[in-house]
Amino acid sequence: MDRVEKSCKNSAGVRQNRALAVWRQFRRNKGAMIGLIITAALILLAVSADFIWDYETDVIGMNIADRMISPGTKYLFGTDNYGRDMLARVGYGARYSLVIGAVSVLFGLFVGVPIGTSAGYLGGRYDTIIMRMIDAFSIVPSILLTILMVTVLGTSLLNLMIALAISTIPIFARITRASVLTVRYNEYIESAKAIGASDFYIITKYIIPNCFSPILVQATLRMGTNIISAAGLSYIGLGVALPTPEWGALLSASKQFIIQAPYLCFFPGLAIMITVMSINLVGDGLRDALDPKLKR
Amino acid sequence: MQEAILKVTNLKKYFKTKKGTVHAVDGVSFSIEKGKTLGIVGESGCGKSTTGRAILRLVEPTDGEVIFEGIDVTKADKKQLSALRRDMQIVFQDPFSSVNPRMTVSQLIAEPLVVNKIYKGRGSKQQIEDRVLELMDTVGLARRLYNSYPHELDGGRRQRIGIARALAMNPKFIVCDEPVSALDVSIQAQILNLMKELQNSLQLTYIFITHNLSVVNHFADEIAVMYLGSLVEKAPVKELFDHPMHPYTQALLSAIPVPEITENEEEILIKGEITSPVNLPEECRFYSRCSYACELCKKGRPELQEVRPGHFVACRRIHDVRMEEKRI
Repeated sequence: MDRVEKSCKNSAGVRQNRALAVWRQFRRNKGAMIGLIITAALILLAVSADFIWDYETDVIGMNIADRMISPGTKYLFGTDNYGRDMLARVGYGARYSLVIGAVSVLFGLFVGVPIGTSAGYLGGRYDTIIMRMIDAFSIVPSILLTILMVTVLGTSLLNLMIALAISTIPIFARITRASVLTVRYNEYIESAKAIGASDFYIITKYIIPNCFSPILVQATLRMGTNIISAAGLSYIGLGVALPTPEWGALLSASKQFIIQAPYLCFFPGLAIMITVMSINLVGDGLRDALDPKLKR
Repeated sequence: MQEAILKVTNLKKYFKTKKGTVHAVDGVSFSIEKGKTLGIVGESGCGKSTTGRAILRLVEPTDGEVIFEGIDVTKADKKQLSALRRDMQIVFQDPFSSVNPRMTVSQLIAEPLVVNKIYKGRGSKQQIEDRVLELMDTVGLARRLYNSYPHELDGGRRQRIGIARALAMNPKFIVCDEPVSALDVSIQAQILNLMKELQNSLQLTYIFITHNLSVVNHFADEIAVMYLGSLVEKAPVKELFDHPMHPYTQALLSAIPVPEITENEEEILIKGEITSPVNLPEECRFYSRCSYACELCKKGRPELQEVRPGHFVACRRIHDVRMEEKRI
């Protein structure tokens, strides 16, 4: 390698690292950077929640003496009707929302991307059948589909994630298929075939890397949507049940006190909004950074 | 006469579309001797690229035989095919879309070696690197470009990558699918010279697909003229340029610009447009545009006939065409 490295030194073309180039583009986008910082902070919060608050005492432990205290110096976010610190509950809740968002999207990717890739790459009858099935799935609004599935499976955190993941699959299958189709007919795919590359090699080395950006962007944006859906389902009692401090469940429990103690609704709502917004900002920033053509 | 390295018999490729069956390649037959170049000439959409791809089975031929060194490519199984792909390679037309933009020059050239596991075990990395550098020298790519990306290079250099990829596994036969038509004229000459040198030093056999007759004039030993999926004329280069027989070939040759003011050769203009290759009627393919066309031409498709030694023409009215040639 030595010889090559030396001969490269006076090369005019600077060796470009694509990830680095994307990062540079991303960094220039202020909104995206704010989103990234907030998202990173939320992830940190979710990871370290157990070190900050003790689940049994701070999060679900009741303290009747301190019930319904408005936000102040002692309790920054106030306390609820059982005297629980809302800061602890909302803070701990980050864990649920982020995990639900991430797991449901990862599962959707895990199933949807292979479906979309095979449909786009193989084409023909297989493509038609698979995509019509996906279409049939997508006709039902995804929130209805999720409600249906939670009702069938029963309400629990795991079932909520499964239901959200399943309603996410068609989206990833579609977007993957679409971008596979744009890549598949490039001459360089044919040139890989000509040197004797197998289909598996072509898919993993050529197709997926060249379809990566739209899928990544969609995954990020979808995570925000799934967090909202999860909160919504918990709100109507189909998601995570109380006393688990999931944000939607918190909202649901607080709504009866909305006149006396509006802060009880305010903070979980704000948390949902900030989380989803910052994740969407990251998604938008990624889209711009990955495809500079879209910007103008 | 040397033995043919490649023998194509009645090769067909039909594409089924909603409007009907497209006869992209419809019964093409020819053979090439080792170390020679066959130029396939024709206008866009006449099926010349599809022919090249069908020979390599980059598209599955509908019918016909392709015998390469005694093996029928069209019936080869996966294992045989991957062995054949080492011997039969292709250089693509568009150097801008035929290389993966995500890979560096060295990765691109090394890819055939990696995919086919040419070098194995310890030290294979070093062997691949040596081979890549050797190939870069062979095709005239400066070593400093080792880690460059294709988008940093001009068309000529990219096409050199394409040639290096094709050469990586020491093939015996290469299909050159309009390798210079996307390049500047000055660079065209460089690439053509390179390919000619490589042919001499590595004893390569080429099929050279092009729509540019003047390119093939200097490059090929034999020329096959293709029209709407079939060969209409096939002859050694000099013979074809001196005595074009098929009305279509005559028109093609007369369309080559002649850089002389005094020469006032009359250009033969072809009337009308190329017939759609969908659901073709059983008549001479050139019937609707041919100035010699008569009722006879509507009765089935003419076969290639040897009219002079090594000179084949598919035309029923070849006698009348030749008569006219003599009169002029």
